[in-house]
Amino acid sequence: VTPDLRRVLDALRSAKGASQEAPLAGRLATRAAAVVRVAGIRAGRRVVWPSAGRALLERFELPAAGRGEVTVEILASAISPGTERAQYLRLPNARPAFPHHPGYSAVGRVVDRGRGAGGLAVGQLVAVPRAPHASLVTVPASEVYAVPDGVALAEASLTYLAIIAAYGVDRCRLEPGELVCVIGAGPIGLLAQRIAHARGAQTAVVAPSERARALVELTPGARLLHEVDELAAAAAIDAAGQEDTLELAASAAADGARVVLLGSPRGLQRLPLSAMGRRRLTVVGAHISRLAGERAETGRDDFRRFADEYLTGLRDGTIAAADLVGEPVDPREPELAYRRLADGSLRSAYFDWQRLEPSERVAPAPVLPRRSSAPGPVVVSARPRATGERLGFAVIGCGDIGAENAAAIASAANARVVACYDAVPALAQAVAAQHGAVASGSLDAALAEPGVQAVVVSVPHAAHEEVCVAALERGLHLVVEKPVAHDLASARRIATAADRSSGLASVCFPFRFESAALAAQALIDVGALGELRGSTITMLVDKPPSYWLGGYSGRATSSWRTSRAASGGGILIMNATHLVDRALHLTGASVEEVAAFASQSAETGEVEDSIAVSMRYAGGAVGSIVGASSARGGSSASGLTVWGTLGQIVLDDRPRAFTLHAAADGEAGRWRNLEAAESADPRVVYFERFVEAVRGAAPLDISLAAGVTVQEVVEAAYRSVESGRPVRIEELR
Amino acid sequence: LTSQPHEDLAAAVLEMLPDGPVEVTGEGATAETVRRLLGGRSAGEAPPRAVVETTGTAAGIAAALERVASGGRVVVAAPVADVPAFDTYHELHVRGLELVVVAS
Repeated sequence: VTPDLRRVLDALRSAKGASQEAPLAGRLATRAAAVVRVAGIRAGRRVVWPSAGRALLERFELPAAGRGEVTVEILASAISPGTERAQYLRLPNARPAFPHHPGYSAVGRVVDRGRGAGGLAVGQLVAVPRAPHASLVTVPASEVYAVPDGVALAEASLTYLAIIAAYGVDRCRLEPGELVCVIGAGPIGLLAQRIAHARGAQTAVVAPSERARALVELTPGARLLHEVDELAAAAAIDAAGQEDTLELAASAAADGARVVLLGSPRGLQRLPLSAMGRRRLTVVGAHISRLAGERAETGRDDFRRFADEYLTGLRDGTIAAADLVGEPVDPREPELAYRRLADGSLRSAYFDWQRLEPSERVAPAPVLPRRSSAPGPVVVSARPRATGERLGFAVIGCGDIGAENAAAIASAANARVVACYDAVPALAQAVAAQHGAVASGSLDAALAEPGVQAVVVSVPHAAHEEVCVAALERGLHLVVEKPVAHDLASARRIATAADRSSGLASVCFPFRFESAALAAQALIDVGALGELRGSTITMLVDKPPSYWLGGYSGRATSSWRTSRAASGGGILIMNATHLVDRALHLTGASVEEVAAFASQSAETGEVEDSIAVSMRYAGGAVGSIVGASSARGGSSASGLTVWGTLGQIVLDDRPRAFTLHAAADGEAGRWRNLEAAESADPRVVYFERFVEAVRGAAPLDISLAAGVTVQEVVEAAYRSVESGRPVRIEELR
Repeated sequence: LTSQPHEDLAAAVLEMLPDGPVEVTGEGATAETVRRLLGGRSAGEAPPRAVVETTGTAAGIAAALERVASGGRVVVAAPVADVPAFDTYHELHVRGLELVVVAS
C-alpha cells in the first residue's frame, strides 16, 4: 500500500471507528464521504528529493477534493532560484528532511472540486501558492487564486513569489511618489521593485551581476544603481540576504527610514547598529511566514490581496514578469534541473508539466495495492538479416579462442568453416571435424583451400603478422583475434598489408555487440552521458596455474602466454584490450598520455601479473586500468565504467546506467538495468556483421585501425612501465 | 539636570513604541525612566508587543528579540556597536520583528 493510499485507508478506518458514537445518519454520511474520497483517488507524478543532491520524478496518489477543497492539474510550477537552490545545496537555514517534496508556486486547471469550494469551476485556471512540484495537487479552495484571461501560465506560476515580494513592499509603508531602493535583482527583488512601481513609488535597484543589471535596465521605472550612499530612499529592501546587503540597504536609506529584510539570509549578516542609532533606521523582518501569522491574528487575507494585485497587474500590463519566468524544464529530468540551478547555469526556471503525457499527469488510480514494476531494459537490435550465401572461413589457430571463433562462424547464418589449420594437427582436426571442414596440413594449404574467402587468425600474438600478411596478400578477408599483434610495430605492419589488400580486415572485439554495450551506445549516441569526464577499467581475474601452461581448457600445452616475446604481455594485452576498445569506442575519445606500473609473479613468468595504468584523454578526461591475473577469487566488479557531465554507465556483471536526461528509455535520475532479457551471442553477431561488410551490405564495424589504436595504449603502458615515466601517444608515431 | 538626558531618551523611546504591552529590560536610569513614563503598560507573562532594551549589548539585544512577540518591535535605548555577524534570519526575519535604535 502506498503511503498516500495508506493515509486514506487510515482515514476510512478512523471514520468507521468514530461512527460508533454517532447517530445513524451521521455515520452513513461520514462513511459515504470517505468512500467517495477513496474511490476518487487520482495518480500523478511529483518531484521528490530522496536524499541530498538527488531528485527523482515519482508516481504518487492523492485523494479527490473533499469539502472546501479543489484538485488542480498543475501545468507549470516555478522553481525558486533562492529557496530551492539553498535547500538543494543544504545551505544554512535551508536544510529539509528527506524525503523532501520541493515546490513553491504553481499554476494549473481545476479538475475536481469538493462541496463548499467557493466560486471555482472545473476547468478554471488558478494560481496555487506553496504547491509542491507535482502534476496534481489537492488544496483548500481558499488558497488558490483565479488567473484572469490573457495572463501567461508561466507568469502566473510566480504568484507566490509575488505575494512574498508584495508583503515586503507593504512592510516598507511607502507613500505614493516615495523612493524605494531594492538590493538584489533576483525574481523576488525585481518583483518587489515592479510591485512598488505599480503602486506609484519611485524605484531603484542595486544588481550584483551583469545579467541582473541587464534585467533591471529592461524594467520600466527602475533606476539601476552602482552606488547607494546619499540615495536617501524612503525605504530600502534587502532582497539578497547576503552578508553585507543589509548594511548596503541601510546606506541607501534616508534617516528615519525602514530597512526591510525580504530575502532569507543563508548565513550571518553584518548588522549596522551604530548607523541605525545615528540615523534612527528601523530594520524590519518580512518573512512570508509572518504574513500567515498576521492573517490568523487579524482575519485579513493579505495573501489574496497580494495575489490579486499581481495577477490583475499582469493582466493590465502594470506589472511585467515575462522576463522573470526563465527556462521551461522537463519534470522527467529534475536532478538535471537542480544540478544546473546549483552550478548557476540555470537561473530562473519552471517545470513544464505539459511535457508529460496526459495519462501520466492525471490518471485514475486503482484502489487495490499493486507491485511497482522495475524499469525495463533497453533493447537494441544489431543483427543483420541472413542471406543464405555463406562466406567460407579458414580457421588458423585452433586453440581455445580458435575453437570459439569456429563455433561462432558455424552459428552465423551467413558464414561457414571451410578449413582449419594449427601447428598442433590434433587441434585442427578436432575443430574441423566438429564443423565439417578440412583439416589442412599447412598454413598455405589452408589459405588455398577451395571455398576459403576469409581467414580468422587465433594463433599466439607474435605469429599474427606472418599469418595475417599471408592471407591479405592472397586478397582474403581477415579477422584477427585481439590484440592485433604482440607489439605496435608488428600491428602497424599488418595494417599496412591490409591497406594494400583487396580483402577487408577487422580485429575481433565481439563484446561491442553485447546487449548492454549496445544499450550503452544508444544512450551515449543521444548525448545522455554529456561531456566525458572519465573511465575506469577493472579486470581482476584469478587465473589458475594451469592456465599459463595450457589456457583455460588445457587442450594444448604451450608456455607462450608467459613469454613476453610471444604474447607481448600479460593481463593488459591478453584480456583488458577488450575493455580498452570498448571504452574508446563508446566514448569516441582518444588517449593522449599514459603512465603505468606493473608487477610480475612466479606464475606469469615474463609478463605482468598486475598492472595499474593512468590515462589522459584528449579534452582533459581521465581514465584508469587496473588488471590482475592473480586476484584470488576474481571479482564480479570487473568491467568498464564511463562517466560524463550528465550520466554514468557501468558495464560489469550488472550493467546499468544513470543519466540526468530522460534519454532513450525515458528514465532519468535513477539507476536502471541495461541488460536485455534475451540477447544473441556477441561473437556470432560480430561474424555476421563482418560478413555483411564483406558483402557490401553494411559498413565495417570494427576496422583494423581500431585495434591499432588499442595497441598504442597498450604499447604506451608497457613503455611507461619500463621507463618509469609517462608516455605520450604521439611519441609512438 | 543630570536626569534630563534619560528623560529625553525615554521620550524618544515612547514615540517608537506600538500599542500594547511593553517590557523594559535593564536596571539603569534609562530603564527606570521608561518604566515610570509607561505607567501601567508593562507586560505580563505573555510575550509583549514591544521590548525596550537598555543595555545595548549584543546579548541583551538578542534576549529582547527572543522575548518580544512575533511581529513585535525591539527598541534599543543605549549606545550600541555594530555586530559583525548576526543571525538575522532567526533573530529578526522569520518572526517579522522590527528593530530600532534610538540612542546615538
